Amino acid sequence: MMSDTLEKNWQILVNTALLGTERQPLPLPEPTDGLSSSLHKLAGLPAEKQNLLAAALLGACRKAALGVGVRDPLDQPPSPAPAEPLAVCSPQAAACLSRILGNKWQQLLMEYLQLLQDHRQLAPTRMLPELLDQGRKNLEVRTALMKVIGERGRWLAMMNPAWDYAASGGAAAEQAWQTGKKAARLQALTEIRTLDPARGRALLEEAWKSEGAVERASLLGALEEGLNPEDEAFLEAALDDRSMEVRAIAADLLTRLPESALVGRMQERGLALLKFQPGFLLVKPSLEVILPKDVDDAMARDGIKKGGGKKAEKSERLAYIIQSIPPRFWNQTWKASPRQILEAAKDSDWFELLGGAWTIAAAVNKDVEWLEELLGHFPSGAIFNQLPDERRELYLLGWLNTKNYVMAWKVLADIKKPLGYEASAAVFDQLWNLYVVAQSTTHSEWEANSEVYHLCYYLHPRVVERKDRLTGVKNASSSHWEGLTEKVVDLLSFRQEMWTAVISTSK
Amino acid sequence: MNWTREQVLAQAPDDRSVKAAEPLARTGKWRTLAHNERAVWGEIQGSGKDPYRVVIDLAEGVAYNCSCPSPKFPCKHSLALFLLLAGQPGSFDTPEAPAWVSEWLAKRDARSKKQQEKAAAAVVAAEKPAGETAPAQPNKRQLERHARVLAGMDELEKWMGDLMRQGLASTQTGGWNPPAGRMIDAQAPGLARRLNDMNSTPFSGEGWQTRLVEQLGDLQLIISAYRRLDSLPPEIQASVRSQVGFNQTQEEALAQPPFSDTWLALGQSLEFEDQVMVQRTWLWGQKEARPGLILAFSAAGQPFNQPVIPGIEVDAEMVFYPAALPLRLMPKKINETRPLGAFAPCFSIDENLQAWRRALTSEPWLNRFPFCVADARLMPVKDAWFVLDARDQVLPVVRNFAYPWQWLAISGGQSVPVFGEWDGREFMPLSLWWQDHLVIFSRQAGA
Repeated sequence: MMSDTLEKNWQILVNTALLGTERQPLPLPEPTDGLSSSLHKLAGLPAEKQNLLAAALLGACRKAALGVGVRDPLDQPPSPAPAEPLAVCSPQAAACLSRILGNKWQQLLMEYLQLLQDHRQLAPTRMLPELLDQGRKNLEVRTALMKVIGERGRWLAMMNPAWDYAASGGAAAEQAWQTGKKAARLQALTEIRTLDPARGRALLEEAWKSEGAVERASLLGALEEGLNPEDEAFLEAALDDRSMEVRAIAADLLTRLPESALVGRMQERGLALLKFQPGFLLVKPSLEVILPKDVDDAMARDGIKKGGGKKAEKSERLAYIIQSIPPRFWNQTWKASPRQILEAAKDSDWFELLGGAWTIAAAVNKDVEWLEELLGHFPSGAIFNQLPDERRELYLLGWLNTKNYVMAWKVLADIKKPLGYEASAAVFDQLWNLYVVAQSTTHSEWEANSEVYHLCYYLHPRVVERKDRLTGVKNASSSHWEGLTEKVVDLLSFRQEMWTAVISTSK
Repeated sequence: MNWTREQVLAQAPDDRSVKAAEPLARTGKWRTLAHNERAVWGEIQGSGKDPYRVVIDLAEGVAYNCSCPSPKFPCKHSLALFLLLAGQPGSFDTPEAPAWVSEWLAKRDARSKKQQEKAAAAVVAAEKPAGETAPAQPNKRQLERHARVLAGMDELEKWMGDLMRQGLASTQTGGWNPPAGRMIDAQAPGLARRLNDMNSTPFSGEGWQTRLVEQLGDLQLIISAYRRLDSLPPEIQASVRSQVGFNQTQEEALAQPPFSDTWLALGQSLEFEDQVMVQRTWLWGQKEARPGLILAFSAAGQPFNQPVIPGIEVDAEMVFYPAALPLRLMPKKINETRPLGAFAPCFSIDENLQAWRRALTSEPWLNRFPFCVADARLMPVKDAWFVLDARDQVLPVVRNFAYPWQWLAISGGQSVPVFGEWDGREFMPLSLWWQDHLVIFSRQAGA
């Protein structure tokens, strides 16, 4: 520690320097030790000179006397992070992440995190701070992140309030639910629902009475996450809520629970609206549609909109009722297959509307048979994306093999899930033909380029080994095509590198 | 040798160059990729008719050559080639070097031979006034500058005296600019820089009064020492002169005895001084067991000439610039470059501070000193960070240290050897040793 006399003399000097020697010259100490005798020697010089020389002398002594600080017993270093059960990814995979975070490949962050999770690897420890920062901004990233930050990530998050979302399973979310603002509470409730749906519902029920109508509506929407039959009683009660918006949301959620009483009531109503005639000999099967009449209180309670006798409003009611009914109900009721039913409905004026409503219902109920039949009549990415991978790829290969690029592009333009290698290779080999279709369906070359490029996020990256197929395309003279293929190869090469870096080390 | 991506990225002049180089760092982009014991080269199609030819000489440090017209140095092609070498060394062939490679290398050899001869001549010249006799007679220009500096110091002392009479409380914003400008005229840029720095001291937070008096004391000490320069030993003369702002010439350094050693490059810091970026690369001489640093300067975004980068070790002959406490090094001959195989020996905080105090007794103006702290842990205290060692002693970390979370993430709270710079008040961590590797604190999203 610094000697007391040195520090005392220094303080006197600093005060004199601040006030100015005109007001107060530096008092020189009596020569009792080495330091004071050195200062004493300044006697006789002009006062300002004394100050400057004392600053030189004492300053040098102070620097050299600087002592070491000792930890205050109240300050504690962080206790070491717990051991990690999973392995951290390879340095190659870490290098890929550094390029993703470096912006150029930002779009691949989710795929990267998913890859790590699939191969039970953890994100590189060194980059955890940057990842945790990313998670603050984006809920989707945050959810994926939780699976790959490991013990080390949670340990870090516990020390930094900015990352408390990642601190420990749901504790931070519960805190945010109790004390946070509107948006933070909604996010917290959604997060709690992903971890523990019953806990989330219980928290909402607890707070229900004290929330305003707007809050009730927005918070109720969070039950979509982790929706399950145990939610029915609460939702059924919410059908009697004072707020119309709350009632509508509750009804909508109940339609997604096929066993709910509301769906049963919808089935009753549906029976009165659709009449099916099976075919017989030369008579084609047919479907008669009867538009719903007035809306009674019970119907309104189930979310069917009141008022208006116009056709548009009536058809809206029809769609709402049909989309609330699991399609399998019609098979059982009419003892007919989806194919037969769709054949019967094909000639009806209402076919488009019914198709849309059935698609929603089939998707909610994950009814593959219906989805496939509907895909035949209404080819769209929306239906295609709902199919199991195997079926999806079978259809795609079928269209590509028969050069039905229009059909293939229709579903690929809207793709949401990655394709396996075989289907990817088939798509990749026909990229030029698909590009031609894309150009004819979009407004600009630029748009076609970006849609085809986007598709390549969903291809198996190993197809890049077939990149010669792109350059070998005949008649492909467009300069846009050249630029596009270069970008596509770039993207696929990087994804391939990323996959290899993760997969090769997981074996 | 094996290069890491990190080492390569450290060579980039800016982030944009890295971004531009990244897509080119694929084997498919290159027509040829080859290397021999000394260099790597490759050909890549650019926007021109002929492919660009890129060579990297790895014999002594790293030197680049590319036929592209880019003003950036190293250019994106050179960086891409280097990145490929770091990432996929297996994709390089080993043919005979073509003429365009061997010619450039030969030109480099010729140039470095000329430099060595020049240096040798300087050594001979410096050694001429044989033995103990008085140093060479200063020439007329030196005498004129000496007189100008002394005259400037007279004025400065008078100005400082006025300030002391009126009190520091009377200083105004920017009040240090006029004397600083005067010191430039007096050819004492070292003093000018100190005066410029003092402008910001009153805004540096609690305790600024103490810091300002310290700075005045340092100035006074330099002035007093310079006035009696002739009575000081030559190495202290050298220190005082460099504080005043006399540049030390390479010839002065080359006249010093060379040290052949394995030099470990442990860390690098950057600072903006007088519109010039100053880069300090800290080394540790393994045999000599002493630290050193290589200073590099860059104005207006020009690249640093950096013969040694952190994370490598070099077998090299180096000389210290003369000083009371020799620290600044000049590489004379670099024989071999390898990835860093070991860290420098580490000590407790107390022992590091003792070394600092010893250093101050020879060089009282010292403001940067390397610390190697053993068993270091990072500890948060309120909104600041401290380094804590095994003896429960602490060292305050500089406020603008950007990577405390990176340190914690890597170490998981375990004790690690850490290297950094001490400025007399605070510690700037620069690197740590983790699982037999040097980890340099840096932004990770490099590309």
